[in-house]
Amino acid sequence: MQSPAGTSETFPSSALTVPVPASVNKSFDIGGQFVWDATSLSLAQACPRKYQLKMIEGWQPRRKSVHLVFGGHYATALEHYYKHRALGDTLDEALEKIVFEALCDTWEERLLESEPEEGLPLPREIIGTGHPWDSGDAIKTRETLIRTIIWYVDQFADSAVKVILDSEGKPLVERSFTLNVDNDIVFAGHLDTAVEYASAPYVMDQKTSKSTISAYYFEGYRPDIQMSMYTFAGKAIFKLPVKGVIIDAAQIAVGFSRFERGFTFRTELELDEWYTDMMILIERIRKMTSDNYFPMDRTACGNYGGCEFRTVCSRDPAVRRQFLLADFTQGPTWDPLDRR
Amino acid sequence: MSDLQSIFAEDPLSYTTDGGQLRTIIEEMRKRRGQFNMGNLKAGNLKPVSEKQKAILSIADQLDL
Repeated sequence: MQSPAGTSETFPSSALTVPVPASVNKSFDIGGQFVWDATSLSLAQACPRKYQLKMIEGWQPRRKSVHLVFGGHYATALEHYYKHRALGDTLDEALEKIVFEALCDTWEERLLESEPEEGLPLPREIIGTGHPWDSGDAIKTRETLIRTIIWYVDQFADSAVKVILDSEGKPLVERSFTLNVDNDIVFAGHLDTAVEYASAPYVMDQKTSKSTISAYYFEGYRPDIQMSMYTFAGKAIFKLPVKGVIIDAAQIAVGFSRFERGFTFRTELELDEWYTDMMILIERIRKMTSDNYFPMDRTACGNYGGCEFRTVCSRDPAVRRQFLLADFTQGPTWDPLDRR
Repeated sequence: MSDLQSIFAEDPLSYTTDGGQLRTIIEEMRKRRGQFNMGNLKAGNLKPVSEKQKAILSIADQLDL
């Protein structure tokens, strides 16, 4: 994306704007973002200013959210579990593999045998050095992560869910996708697992929460951008009549992990409406990008426990950058095309 | 430190088949899940026991009820 060509009287350039070179973020072109995933769509829908701060300027909290880290490890473990089972592992074989992998993924900062040198492979790590991941949270810890993985597998061991295999016999697990849609826009994302349940295909997703999982929890996923994207993409990519998403939700508490399985369905009309809404949203954001001005949605500041940028946006524009620098770090922007 | 806590404190790449650390973790977690299903909401609590709690627990065997 080119640098904004100065300011206009109608839309003064935000004092915070930092151009994102197209060579850095593959999902942007001269007109703005053209590759969209559920994360960037959700940001754009929540508040254009939040979209600007995160997607255009790359501001992120200094410490990555424990919910994202914990949830990421948990989802990866269960994706791999379903893949191992689909490829013939027994429950215990698959469980040992994923528990070991999760333990390794949450071990940090092993020392290296020697100093790394540019252009050469990284030196080997010294086993027995380093330390376990400290989440900084009293509930979502490394130990409760392992506990939750094991208890989930045992709870759903006899589940009627079966991973769908593709035409080459490979399990439909961990599939990143890109999908060309109208107006030269591309939808992208990552589908955890495609499964068959009661003779119907679904996308499966894993969620974690500290709260009790109830029917009200699952109602919150309708309407929902991510679940609609999964259903839409699942139909287009897998060429299956995907009915919706199976959501396996885990409540993480100090003394236990408890699970509920819910479903969120999407009809054709709902998906058509969602698609229309997303294309209008994208067009709106691209116009804001072109104008280099992203207004705040002041009704969104208190949603979901409060926007992470509330402490910034509540300040006078002249001093916002200081508050950004104090509480956030500016790094690579979220790229929907990056494989995760 | 309990057996489970000491296993978690070790580098997982140092685990061995003979050592059975992985098996111990899985079996202990399964045992605790069974206790939770029986109604103990604290069964899965993996926090280290404090010295005060250890002292209280140590007298349990001495009580003649």
